[in-house]
Amino acid sequence: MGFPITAAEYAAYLTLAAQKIEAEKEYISALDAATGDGDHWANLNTGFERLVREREELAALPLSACFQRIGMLMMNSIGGSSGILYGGAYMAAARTLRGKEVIDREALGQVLQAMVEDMCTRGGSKPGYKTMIDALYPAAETYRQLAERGRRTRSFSARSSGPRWRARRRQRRWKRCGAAPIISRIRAWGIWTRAP
Amino acid sequence: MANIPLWRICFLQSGMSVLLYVISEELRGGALEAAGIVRGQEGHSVCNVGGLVAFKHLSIVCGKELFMKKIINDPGAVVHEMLLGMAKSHPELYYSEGLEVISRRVKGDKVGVISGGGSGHEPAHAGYVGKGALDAAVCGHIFSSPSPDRILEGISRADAGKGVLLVLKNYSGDLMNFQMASEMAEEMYGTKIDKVVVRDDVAVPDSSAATGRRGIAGTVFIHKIAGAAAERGYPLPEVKAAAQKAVDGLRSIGMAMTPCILPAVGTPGFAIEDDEAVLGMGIHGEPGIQTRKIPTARELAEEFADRIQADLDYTGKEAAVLVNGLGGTPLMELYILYNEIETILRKKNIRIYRSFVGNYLTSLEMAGCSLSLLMLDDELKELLDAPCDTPALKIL
Repeated sequence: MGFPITAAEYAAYLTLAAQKIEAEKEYISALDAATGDGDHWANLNTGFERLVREREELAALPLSACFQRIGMLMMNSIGGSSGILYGGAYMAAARTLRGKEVIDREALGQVLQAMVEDMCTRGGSKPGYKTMIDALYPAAETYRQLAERGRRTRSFSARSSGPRWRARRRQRRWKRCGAAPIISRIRAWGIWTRAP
Repeated sequence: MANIPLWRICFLQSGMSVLLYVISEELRGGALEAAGIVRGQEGHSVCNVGGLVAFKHLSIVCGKELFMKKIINDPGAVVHEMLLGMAKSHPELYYSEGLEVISRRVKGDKVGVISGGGSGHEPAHAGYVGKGALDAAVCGHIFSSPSPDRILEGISRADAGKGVLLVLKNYSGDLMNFQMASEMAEEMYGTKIDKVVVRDDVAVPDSSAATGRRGIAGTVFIHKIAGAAAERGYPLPEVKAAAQKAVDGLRSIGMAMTPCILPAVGTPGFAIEDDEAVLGMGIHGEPGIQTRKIPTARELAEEFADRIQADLDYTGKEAAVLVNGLGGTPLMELYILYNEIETILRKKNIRIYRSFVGNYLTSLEMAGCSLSLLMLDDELKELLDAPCDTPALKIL
């Protein structure tokens, strides 16, 4: 999937993400068990199952409405504090996408920025509070800086730290495991091991 | 394994082999001590999270595993099936299926009072829906805030055109979801909405930077006070003022002795040693302030009363007392505790106006209890004594 991204492509991406989540039950549950109740996977998976069920409707919507709908579905089916943080972020992104038909390189920067800002204000959090903002804020910030400098933003993930495959995998994990303060703890320890 | 009773044992999967890690009490801050490598055991896999053992996933304490023993059909449907049963058992209550809201069948011409939060605290909050208390209760997944669509349903079931008061426990998930739903309701239906946030747990330092104090069992008093104020026909600002006054004079402290098991998880989320109790543990198993040998009822009563008294001075005041069980502690023990608490409060010159002993706000099958004190003035006494007819609280 390259730029520009359409609603149909994004809906297809959600389906892939849902398959990943479905497959990583043990991993996500173990992460959450170390910091929370251990039921995050169950809630997250319910949410993505719901998204997959509506993928055709989502793909047919205008981009902004598509993101708005994703936000509502996530909020209402995942529930708890993660549901509203993920959902609220998508709804904030929907506002930046009004009137756009595709996400281009610049729009993606705005989307990331809007998502992180919404999570910060809604959750009363800032970078450094040991929340998922610690992972998302640097990503959005790096993207913005690179986009400003006019570099090819395709390689931004490689620049955050370490080899690109590792950064990509890490972002996938962060996105997946949501509200886990564990991430910053692991990062502080500087330990990364192979996925189970 | 059985001969190292004070040690925590976890299995840790790493590629093909399963490492047995033993974490001693002294090392429980995160440091690990590898004791050896054993053959893998299927079904006991815990992921290797960058060297951090996710030992909470598989709790084997004192060489024995704690398994889930619950009367359920489907772990994913517990909240739904519970509410179905509740609505059948109490025909005066209406269950909004799919949106997991319990409300009164008949709307009164008054301010609506609603509460809600994660499930697993039964009878809170749906058990307090009825005359003289809540108009609606919104239920989330176990220990997880309800989403805005459910809260909107709760608001519309409770709104009779005179506004709605939300009674919330101070957890960030609840606050975010109820905030979002209030904004939507104000925009969509023009409902006037206000809220009180219960933060009664003295085990957590009161801070304005972080989320701050949790709301625990004392919340039941606020349901009663706000419900009675609304039933009397107070307008929304006055219902809120009465509830806020009660919140300001409300303090609680709890203690837990066993963990609880979420149906969707199947194993305890944390471990408490056989002979230990955790003072100040939250109603979702949030870490407490002190782990100690299980105290006697007398010691516990003193500890509770001292901690509450140190936070807010009730000397010479009248108070309502709630001795609450967390779900796994028999009523016998709660009365033994109340006997001691009554003696101590009398010694401290705190006059008990009314007392409540029982399982009012639980934490699944957790063994443990909490003490709540509500400071009373004439207005709050009247509101507390006002008639109330709900499944879990009846004052007639």
